[in-house]
Amino acid sequence: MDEQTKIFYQKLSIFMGPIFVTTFVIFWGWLGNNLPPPHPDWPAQAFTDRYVNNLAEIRVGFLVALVTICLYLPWTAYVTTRMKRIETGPYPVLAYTQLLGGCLTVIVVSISMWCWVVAAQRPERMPEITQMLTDAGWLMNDTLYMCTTMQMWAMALCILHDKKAKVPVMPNWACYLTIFCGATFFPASLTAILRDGPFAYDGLLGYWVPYPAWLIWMYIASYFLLGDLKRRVEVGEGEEAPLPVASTLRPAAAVAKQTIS
Amino acid sequence: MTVNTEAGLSTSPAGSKRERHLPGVEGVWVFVYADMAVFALMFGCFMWDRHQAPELFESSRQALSLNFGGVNTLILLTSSMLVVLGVDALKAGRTHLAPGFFGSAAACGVAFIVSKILEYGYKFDAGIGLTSNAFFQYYFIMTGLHLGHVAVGTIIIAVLAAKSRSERPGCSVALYEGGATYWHMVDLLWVCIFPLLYLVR
Amino acid sequence: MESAVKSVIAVWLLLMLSTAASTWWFAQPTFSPVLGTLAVMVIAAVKVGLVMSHFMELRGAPRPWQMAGVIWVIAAAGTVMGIYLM
Repeated sequence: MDEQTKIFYQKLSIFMGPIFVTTFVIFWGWLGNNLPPPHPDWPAQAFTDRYVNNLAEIRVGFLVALVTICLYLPWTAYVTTRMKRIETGPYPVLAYTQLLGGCLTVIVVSISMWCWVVAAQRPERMPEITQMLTDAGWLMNDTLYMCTTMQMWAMALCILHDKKAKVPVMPNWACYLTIFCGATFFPASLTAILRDGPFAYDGLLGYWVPYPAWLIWMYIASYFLLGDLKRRVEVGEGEEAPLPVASTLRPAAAVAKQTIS
Repeated sequence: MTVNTEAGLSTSPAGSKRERHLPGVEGVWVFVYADMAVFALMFGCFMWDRHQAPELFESSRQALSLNFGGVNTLILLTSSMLVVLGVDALKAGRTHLAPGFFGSAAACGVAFIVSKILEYGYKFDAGIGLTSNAFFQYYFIMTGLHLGHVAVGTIIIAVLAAKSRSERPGCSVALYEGGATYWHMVDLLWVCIFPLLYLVR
Repeated sequence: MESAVKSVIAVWLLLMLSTAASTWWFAQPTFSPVLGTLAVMVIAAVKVGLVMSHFMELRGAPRPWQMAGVIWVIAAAGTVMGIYLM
């Protein structure tokens, strides 16, 4: 494979991130009737009605989203390889944690949608079963978020510790924002216990904060990954750059580096 | 609040000539403000649900122990001040004082955690839990999420205490300032959560 | 003692006393509920402002970061008091 082709696939992999987010919002959110999500305290019949009245939309929405969720994989692959360039040597644990987190995110989100696809396959069944499938799908996402959180934290920590680069992959603030966005999922564990209010799976802190935080993070990270790729192609990866240059380019981060080391 | 910030400026010992300085790295501040925004949303939700059922919230509130909440606030405020003194000692070159300040601050964090566990224990003994009613749902979630912040912060401050033992005058304080900023946020959030849950009648 | 240390301790004393006043005076049943609650809320907002300006050192921070703190206090206190008085 020649260099141009390699760069092309790298760039394509990064673009898969924002494309995934966009398709996710359209197919999972809008067509899948998850904007707003169902209310967990509804009577069982309301869940059946929701599927019956929007059957085609929900089926198309989740079936397409189940395909496009896998665009998360090449994005994760690119981030992993980029992290391995920072975390050089034979033990790139952060890069692999990120890789595992990304892969499992795809599976967690897929299984949750799979529950809803099953619910939509035979919506005339007993309403309690449709209700249970819907609940199961939500709790899949809302209790297994730690895979995604680990991915985000590993990526942020790796980039924060990058001491070679003249310009880091993501600026300091974006790394800390990544850590924050990963942490916003913690209250979602409460969706397993509470069926009403802000901590339910359709609530402010069970849904409207963590899900957008995750998707917006993906846009922000992809934006900086693209910038980093461009820089990398134009001026190289900067291992040859002497450290003093780094401290003039990003004083705050350089100070932090000295303190850490 | 504007008044406070401005008043603080004029009495600033550093004087206005010196360049404006953001403690720590900017990322810590992005994290802190984002975290505070989420808590502000929670405060809004709490007040809104309280507005729907004021009698329930008031009668449930009376089951809380003001003494526990008040003493918790005093513990965190003291801890925050000790961290300020610790960072100040490092800046002023009195590095030998820093481990003591940070260590006592971390001890305050542990005291807070112990007192919260005791308080939860009394609630559980009285048959009160997360699902008792809307008020106690907020009580356990807000104090619980805050307790998580305290646990993380206590570890951070303890690590800083250990690290400060080997600092020499003139050392870089960015890492300490970052940890301190987070710890002050934990204090600040409790300063809000305590009156909301325990004192609003 | 240096003036910086002195001012930190003065602020700490103020914070401790106002906490004690909130808890063991304004929030006690002898005090009118609405007035007491409003007093407690105002005191809390002032305390947050003091923690921000003197402990978090926002008083010497660049303007935009200062403004973010001021906006948070106004938004949080405004929401809480607004809903309370509704």
